[in-house]
Amino acid sequence: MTKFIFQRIFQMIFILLGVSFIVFFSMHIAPGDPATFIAGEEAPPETVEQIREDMGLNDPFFVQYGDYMAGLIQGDLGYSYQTSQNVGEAILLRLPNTVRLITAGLTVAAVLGIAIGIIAALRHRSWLDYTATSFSLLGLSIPNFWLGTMAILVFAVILQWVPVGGFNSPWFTFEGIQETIIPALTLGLSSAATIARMTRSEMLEVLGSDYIKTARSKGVREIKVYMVHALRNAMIPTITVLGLSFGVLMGGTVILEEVFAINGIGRLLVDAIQQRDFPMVQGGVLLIAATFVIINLIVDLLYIIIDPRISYGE
Amino acid sequence: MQNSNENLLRVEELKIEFSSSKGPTRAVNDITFNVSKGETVCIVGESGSGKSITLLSIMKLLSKNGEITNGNIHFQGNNMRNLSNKQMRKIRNQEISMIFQDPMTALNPVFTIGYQITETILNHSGLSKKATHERVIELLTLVGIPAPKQRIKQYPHELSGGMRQRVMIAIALSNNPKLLIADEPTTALDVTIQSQILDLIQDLKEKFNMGVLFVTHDMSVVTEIADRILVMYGGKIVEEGTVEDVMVNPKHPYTEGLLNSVPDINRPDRPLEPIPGSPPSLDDDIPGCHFHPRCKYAMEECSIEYPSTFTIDSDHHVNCWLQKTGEWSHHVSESEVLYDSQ
Repeated sequence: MTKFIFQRIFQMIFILLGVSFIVFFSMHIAPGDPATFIAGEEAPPETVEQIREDMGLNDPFFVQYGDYMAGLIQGDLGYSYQTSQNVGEAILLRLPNTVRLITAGLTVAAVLGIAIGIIAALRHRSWLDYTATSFSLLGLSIPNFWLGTMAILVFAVILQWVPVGGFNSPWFTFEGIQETIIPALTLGLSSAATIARMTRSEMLEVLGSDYIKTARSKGVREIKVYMVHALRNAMIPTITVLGLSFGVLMGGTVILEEVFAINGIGRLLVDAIQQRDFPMVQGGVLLIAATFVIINLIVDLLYIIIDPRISYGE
Repeated sequence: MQNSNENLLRVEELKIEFSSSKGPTRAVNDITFNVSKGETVCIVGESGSGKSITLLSIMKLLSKNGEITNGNIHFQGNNMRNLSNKQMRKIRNQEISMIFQDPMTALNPVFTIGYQITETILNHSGLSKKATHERVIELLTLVGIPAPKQRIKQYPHELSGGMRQRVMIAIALSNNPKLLIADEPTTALDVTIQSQILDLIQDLKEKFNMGVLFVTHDMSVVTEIADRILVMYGGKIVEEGTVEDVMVNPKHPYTEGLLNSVPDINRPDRPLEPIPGSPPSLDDDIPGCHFHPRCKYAMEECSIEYPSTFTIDSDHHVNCWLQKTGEWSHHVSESEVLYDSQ
């Protein structure tokens, strides 16, 4: 178990190394020169060239990459080309908003998805099931930037139930929840749909198994048959989907933070990419990759708790 | 009925239909039988004859598309046909318990066996935590599981098939049921384990004076445990009698076929004689006797009308036109060697 965790963390180092290289390389070959952005459109070529030289942008690719990695190993993510802010500090400053959005989105996805999946399975082939299945399809097909825009229009502009955007109040205050609820629903909806479909089909499969018949023959209450005997078994594959949805949610924040004017990592990344702010992009992507790897490690560890048949060796 | 106080279970004119896209199909057609206290009744027949469905209908555990369309099921004199789910829950395990064919899949893989037995006990009684724990140990000891204190912490996948079936039996006995229903409980086990489990069921039956309703397709199992036999074919009981009657003196060609298709240790040179053809599917609408297309003695009237019940002696009944015409002679005189009549 401990060995397994260490192995995975060891693997993570290589994954992050690979990610950093790919990002560094793709930023390098992408059109657009950070020096031009810094100097401004009108700047004379000599100034731009001077900036390039100062920033080390004229060095060979591997020298630049080596310099960056040398800093990274010491925990230094570099400085923003645009604002000269320390990248690590800039990210930490924006992190709480993104964590809040993703946590809320993941909660929506898990709670809504699992609940809808269970209801659909229990009322198999009823109107509830068909409604739930249609909802899932709808949730998967609607792009979240459109949904977000519509939600702002309806709930913020017309009904005025919630503010138009931004996270300005602390998490667990009335205002905080008011600010979070619509972005979270928008973010979590498509994942909720995926999870609902998975839960539904898993529940249906599990409900047909012999041990469910055994549970009923023992005189176990129906609600307990579903929520204890069936659900725990149905959760094993659903957890996998939940872990993978985390990646979808993180991708979603990049767009939705723009739509809802939330100052998070996603928005930071979009701005950084537009301004060719290489260190900032690099830092943001590495953070996302690391989080994704860690979440999937947690999912793998959750299996052990849910399914006693799974073990990762002694 | 003169011995009604002895009668635990009485199934009367039971019909079970399954709805499908092609319309209703009849899985069980008008069967009647009794199980008394301390008696083992075996239902024998091929796959698809309606044996397992009959058992599930007694427990009210038929799948959603299955329905009892006619007849009654009496347990200790009370009609169970119209009991609500809530009332049925009180009967399950408390009065009637069931064990299933495949112990590999009948236990929930994500809970310890201790939990699965504890839960069963607590469904029906308000025992304290300590008393429940002691009861679990007692049950596991009763079914012959060594080191029960360690076993309760284990998960089903850590136990062998035979051990798991013992756990299933322990679960079934949790609340001292009066009737034990077993759906081919030894089919998935190898032969030595099979006889251990059969012995265990027999012992427990005698110890607690339970009625046992046992479904199997294995004639050697029948000879080992049955007091009475019901032979089912195509959703009907075609022959019924004590184990001596049916094994030594089978009156239905299907029973004869079943006996002839089993190897006999005392006559290793006897060629096995399979029953030609395959059992009818539920959709087949066979006129007359359902067995006549496969029957080597089939006569004209067999395809016209379903045979009425002929009584051979007080306990031995058969549905076959051969009895009417008197053409039946004892074709399987050797079959008594299979049933060792002590």
